[in-house]
Amino acid sequence: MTRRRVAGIALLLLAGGATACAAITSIAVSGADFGGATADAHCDRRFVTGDRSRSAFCQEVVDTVAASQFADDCTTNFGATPGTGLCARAQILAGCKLDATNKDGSQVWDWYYDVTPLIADAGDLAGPDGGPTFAPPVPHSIVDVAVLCADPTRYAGGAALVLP
Amino acid sequence: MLALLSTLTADVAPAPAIDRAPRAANAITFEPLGNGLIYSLNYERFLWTWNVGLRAGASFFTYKLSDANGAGNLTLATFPLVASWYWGLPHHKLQLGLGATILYFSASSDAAGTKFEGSASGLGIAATGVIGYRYIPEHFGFTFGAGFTPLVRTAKGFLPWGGVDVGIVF
Repeated sequence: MTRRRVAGIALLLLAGGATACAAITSIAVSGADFGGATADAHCDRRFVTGDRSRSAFCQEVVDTVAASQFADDCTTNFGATPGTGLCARAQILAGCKLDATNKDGSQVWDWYYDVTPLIADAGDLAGPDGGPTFAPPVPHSIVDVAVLCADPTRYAGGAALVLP
Repeated sequence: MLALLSTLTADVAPAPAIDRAPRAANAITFEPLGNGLIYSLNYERFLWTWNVGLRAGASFFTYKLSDANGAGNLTLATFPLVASWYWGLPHHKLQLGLGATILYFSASSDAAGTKFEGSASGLGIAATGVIGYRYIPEHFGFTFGAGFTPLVRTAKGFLPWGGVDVGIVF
């Protein structure tokens, strides 16, 4: 058997394996969703514990099977405030809806807030080590949010501006 | 005369044995996917007078999604109940069935104990059916089948689904 033929068969097997894996994931997600395993969750980065940086947005995941994992990551990685359901809508300027869909079929929105009242309460430099209270970027308008959504360094997979 | 009759009787070949044993009336099967959603273990009672089978099954699935200490598992239990009508050759049957699947889902919780429940959490019921092929031996033996096993639930709509089953009849 030639090397080329072996390589061809290996490539076919890999492609078949990847397709089978995707199909199994899709079936599992469909079944889990039908069984009631999907839920919405959010991670509010404006409110943190300990010496963590605050951010001016809240991330929400809709119809995910991994809501509890998302919530624990929110606490562990950012010291932020997780919760059930969607992000609070009050004080939202606008949001970025991520173009990519997660493997479990869930979708992600980042909602950016007008945090002026929170800065007024806490002061400008209430962040870790006397730094800014909110880590940049801190948008002040819908246009600012639109710029963030279009920023490929922030949303490598692309994101679209959405209004609440 | 008696001697002649005796000779004639001896020359006649014996009639082929007629299998009068009743058909096997029970089956135990394992069905990946199918009416039990993820999988199910089933018992089926055949009523061959009417070519009907009555099946009851169960499945249980639990999984810890989050690695964080104190996080809780998600749990899914299902109980498919299906009545099927069989038609066809003695061993090869078309299966047409209708029934219901009772579903119980308990959402997973994060390390803080918060449960992330969707709209379809808790106890629910789905209508289900089966259109498929089934191999059923007449007596003890291996059985298998495959079919289209959709489920319909008010909260979630229609789920086009399928399954295969393997087991024994006795």
